[in-house]
Amino acid sequence: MTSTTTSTIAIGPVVVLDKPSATTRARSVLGRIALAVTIVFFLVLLVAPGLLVHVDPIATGDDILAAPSAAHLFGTDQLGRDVFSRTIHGAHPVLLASLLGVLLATVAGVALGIAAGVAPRWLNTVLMRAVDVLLALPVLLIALMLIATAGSGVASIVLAIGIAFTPGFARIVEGSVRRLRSAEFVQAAYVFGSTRLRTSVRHLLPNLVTEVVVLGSSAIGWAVLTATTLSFLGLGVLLPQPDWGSDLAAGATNLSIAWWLSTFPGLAITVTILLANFSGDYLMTLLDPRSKARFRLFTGGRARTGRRVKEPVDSEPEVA
Amino acid sequence: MSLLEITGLRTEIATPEGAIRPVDDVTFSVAAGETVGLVGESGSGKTMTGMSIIRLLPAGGSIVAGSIRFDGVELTELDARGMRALRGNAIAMISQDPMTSLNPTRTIGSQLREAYRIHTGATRRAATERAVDVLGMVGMPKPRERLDDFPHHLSGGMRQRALIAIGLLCEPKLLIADEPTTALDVSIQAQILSLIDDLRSRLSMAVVLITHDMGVIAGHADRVAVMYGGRVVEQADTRTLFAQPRHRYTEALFESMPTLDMDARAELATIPGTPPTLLSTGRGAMCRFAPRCRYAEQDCTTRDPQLVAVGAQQAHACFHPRDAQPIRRPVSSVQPPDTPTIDSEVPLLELRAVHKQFRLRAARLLGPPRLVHAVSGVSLAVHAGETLGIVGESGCGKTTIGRMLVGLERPSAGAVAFAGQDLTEMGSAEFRRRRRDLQMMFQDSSAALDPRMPVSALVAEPLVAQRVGTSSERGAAVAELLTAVGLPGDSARRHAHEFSGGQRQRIAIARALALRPKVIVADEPVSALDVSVQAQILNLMRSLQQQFGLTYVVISHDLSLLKYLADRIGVMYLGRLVELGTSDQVYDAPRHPYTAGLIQSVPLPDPALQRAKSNGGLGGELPSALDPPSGCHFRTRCPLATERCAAEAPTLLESPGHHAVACHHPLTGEHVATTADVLDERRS
Amino acid sequence: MTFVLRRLASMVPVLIGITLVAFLLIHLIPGDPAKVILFGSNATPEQIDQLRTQLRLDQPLWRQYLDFLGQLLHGDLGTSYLTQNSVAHELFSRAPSTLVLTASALLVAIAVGVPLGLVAGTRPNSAFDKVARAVSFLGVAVPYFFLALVMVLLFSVNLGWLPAIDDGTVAGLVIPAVSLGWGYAAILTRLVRGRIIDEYRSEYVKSARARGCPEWRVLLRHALRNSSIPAITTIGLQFGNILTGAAITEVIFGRAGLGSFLATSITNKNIPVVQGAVVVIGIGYVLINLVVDVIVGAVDPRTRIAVGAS
Repeated sequence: MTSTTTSTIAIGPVVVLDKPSATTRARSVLGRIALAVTIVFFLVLLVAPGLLVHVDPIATGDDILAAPSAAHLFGTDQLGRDVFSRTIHGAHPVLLASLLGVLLATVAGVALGIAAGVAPRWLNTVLMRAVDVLLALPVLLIALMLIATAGSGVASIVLAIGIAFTPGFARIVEGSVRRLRSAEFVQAAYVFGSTRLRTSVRHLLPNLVTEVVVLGSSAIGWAVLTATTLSFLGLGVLLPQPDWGSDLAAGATNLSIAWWLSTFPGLAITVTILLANFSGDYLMTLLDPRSKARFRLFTGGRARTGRRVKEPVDSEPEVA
Repeated sequence: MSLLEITGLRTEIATPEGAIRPVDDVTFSVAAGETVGLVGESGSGKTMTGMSIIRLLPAGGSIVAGSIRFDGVELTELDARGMRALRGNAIAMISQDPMTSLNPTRTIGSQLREAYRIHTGATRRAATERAVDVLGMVGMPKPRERLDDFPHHLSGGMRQRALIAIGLLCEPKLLIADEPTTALDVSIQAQILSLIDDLRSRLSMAVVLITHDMGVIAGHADRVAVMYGGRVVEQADTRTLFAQPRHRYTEALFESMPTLDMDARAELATIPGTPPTLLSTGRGAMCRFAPRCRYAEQDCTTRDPQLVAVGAQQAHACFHPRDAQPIRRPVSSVQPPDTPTIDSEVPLLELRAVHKQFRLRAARLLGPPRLVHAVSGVSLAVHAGETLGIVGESGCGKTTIGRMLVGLERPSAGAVAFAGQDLTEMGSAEFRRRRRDLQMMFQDSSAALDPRMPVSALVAEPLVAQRVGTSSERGAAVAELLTAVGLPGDSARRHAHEFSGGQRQRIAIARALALRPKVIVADEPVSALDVSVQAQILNLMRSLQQQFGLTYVVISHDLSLLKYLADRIGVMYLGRLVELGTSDQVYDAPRHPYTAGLIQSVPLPDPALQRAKSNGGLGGELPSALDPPSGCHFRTRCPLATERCAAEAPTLLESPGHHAVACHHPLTGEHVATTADVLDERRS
Repeated sequence: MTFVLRRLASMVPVLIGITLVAFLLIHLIPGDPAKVILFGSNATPEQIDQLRTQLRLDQPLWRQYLDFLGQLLHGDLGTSYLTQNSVAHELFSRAPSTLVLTASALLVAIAVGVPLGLVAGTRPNSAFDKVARAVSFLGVAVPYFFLALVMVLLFSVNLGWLPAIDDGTVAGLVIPAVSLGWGYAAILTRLVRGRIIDEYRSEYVKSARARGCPEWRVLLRHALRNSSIPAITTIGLQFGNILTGAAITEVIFGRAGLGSFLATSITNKNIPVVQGAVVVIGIGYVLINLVVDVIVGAVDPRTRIAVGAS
């Protein structure tokens, strides 16, 4: 890859954008708050939605298509169900599917990426070609293919997100492993007799963890989008159960008479993705060990690049 | 009336952490047709001074006080449009790094035409003709064909020529050259510098030459302004400055430089501490150098020294200047022992006819992969207790040699032996134990230290990896090592990025020493450091050598450094060892024409020597390692080459009374004797 | 030329891989695919056998794949077992509508994202930059199907400016294209902004200014060209996602296209259609990225040597 593209990696669904520029103190406070809010928000919605709402999301009522009011904060739907309760409870399948899906993809992608990164050249070629094939297929298509064969449901969505995101992760991790393997501090470890295994555990993994955490957190937003798209298409939970995607789709038919039906699940998705992305960006700055030192000013010094060019230029050293 | 007159210039840059002032009250002038050198270490403000003249400051930067008069015009009062009309027209600039200073996606021709047409409104055809003319003038071979090349098609030296050509299109009155040759090899550096000299006299333009290298100044500047901490601390004409510097900083700078004529056994004088960073430049009234100055007194920290003229040609800003007398090297109080007796029977470390090839992607689809011969047939013995230097330009294979010596790279053919044992035939467990004796210092200490580990873990790591000692023993060893390399006691808990470059190199040395190795291979150990810090590291390496009985293999592009540090020196060219001898032999009586040319190219911090040199430097450029010339690789650049050189590769041979050389027509010592002559003259 | 040939050669294994994935799709179905497909349709054992023969499930695996490949090379993507029409015909007759939407969304993304990123990048931390960053942050977060509904509510239901259902006119295309393109505009904005900031810090921009280049020229002739390279690459890599997004947008707006067709096929487990779609979209993606590489090669001469298969 040429130097022009290294700062931006756009692979499959995952777009790792340029590192945020020198963050001011204000932003990092904001980031810390966003991270804390995100974690609490996700935990409560996943584990204990009952803390926020006591109304049964499935219980129908007489008050049909009521506009938002004190009794029904987000109004009611065509069966008189409380939209607020459905929005709170609808988080469960979405968050479960996206978090588990990303976890699955992270584990699989990291395993595949490390395997390819340390493998001999022929095996690397085989593995990365397989990854290329999957990268050629859009995430949603892979997900749809899987659901077409395995059937719909939250478990299928987890699997679909997991498999669809894996190739992108594997590609990035493989690149990092290769870069780290030729890093001078890894070479230095070999010089004082560190074994391959020890070097991997002490140097490769800790430096890789940062990138994996950043990768995973920045993928959560995409996973939420993918999960809600699938349930929007009716491939998620079975219908009486609340789910942001399917509720949004259901509300679309009554859009002109009851705007609140689709709007609240939609806003919920938006806020979730926003929080996930914001926390991801913050994690990125937080986990850079040099973040404090990154503020390096144009030292009026000399160009040192010329001396650091490895010989021979442009080649991948390999024992001929 | 000078062409450029700068008085009381003050430049500030607003940053989120407050304003910094890289240029603080700078005054100097440049007459038409004259070269003024602006010299200083990193953070001295020399680049920002140049940028202030042309007003290309980084975001948030502005000139807050002072005046810049250029050719009768006050530049600080000029608006953006007026400034733009001057840039590239009456004032041209060539910047530090030719590799990145040309737009990689546009052809050389389009960038040349652009510069010309902006200022002259010439037609495309006229601009093309002008571009060809100027490219020819800067010595670009086949200029018309180069127009359609992209920057990556050209070598570093040729890119710098193209950049100079862009600067010269409109025949500027002033050329600002900011470290124009730092990124280039010495032989190319000499070519570019003499090109600038030549163009200056032909076009009668003035040059501001910004550099950290006193050698460059000595050979090419008429007058010099020495900068430190954003100020000009001394200015003088070049001869006066080198003969009798007055400011204590200038003096210390000269003392800390290893030069070819100094006694290699003497310890280098050092300046304690590190150059001030821009952020820490204090605002209070004080001499910026006072914290590092051994002559500093009360007044240095309470008042601002102003430039005081001494004589017609010199001015300094120092309360306690040195007397007007020629500079003399201090003789070290610690006299290192004589060169160790070498047991030449059993070399400690040995390369036996080593080859190393790297494979490159094929040029054509399905074509055969191309091979780069990084090292071809090098045999070399390193003896216990000595320091062996390996010198050569980039791409000569010296780094690969170093990596093979410590087993980071396996030779494609040949063997590496330690104490008579072939490393390549050892089992991996045995080899790993053997590594205790073979350690390495890397080029870039910031890349060689894991950013996630505290210094204590970094230094202890070799011990952990080799399962040496208990954890408390290791802790004690770390403390001892940190003291030995002169790091403060609280360093252990901090991370590598919190240290300066020199301190990081100390950490790297401590780590390399942890296993008590017999050999340390040091790849460009000080090339990234400022001169004053370099001396500290070199002295440290020397004293550790005695203390721990080390054998060094030092790989460097810097001849003066090796002359100072090494007992024996091997010269490499395009993968081959072309000359090998003691450092005195190699420098005083080089036998290979390449070595001789290389010595001629090194800029010496001595105006008399530097100007006495004939144009005996190296012409041409390094051929591609993919397709090296037949026979002797150097023949394409060699003034003595004959048909035999093309047909037959010379082998490295000693002859009676002479050290080893690989040349069909070795020099006898009469061809290039200028430098040695002047040195001899001075010694007698 | 070597560059293009090398790229073409590196495509072959990926293309084979795509056909393999499409082929194996049917075998991912747990149990007997024929039974699963016909489940609930009261099919007789004869009908199941017939389907099994039609899907060539009675042949050895390698034979099935070779037949599948052989058909592909003749442009035959199989037969929809529901309509008994050629899958290729079914797909290609619906493709233009989807491609029009994809292209329009892409146009929105580029027309909004690139200028926004450019202006923001040349004035980092200005008020404009802050607004652009906030908008792009939001743009990535709002799901396009939600944005589509909000736009319908606003512009069709309340204001009545635009048709809510696609009626084949250009006006009908506005809401689907904008809602789908918006997210990608946000990605491009962030990307271009970051690149411009980087390019402005680079040495060659400094030297361009040092030779007296006016700012517009620095931006348009130097920085823009170089920062467009990652933008073009990103568009190529995101093409597949935009295409599937277009398919889903079509379902929302009731546009006849690949989207609704695929959705029905998936619910009906019409595997040959899904296989055909995988092959067509996969090949389309590979071809688009070949074009992207050639464009990047034209803009950035360095990649002509350096670009590898990976």
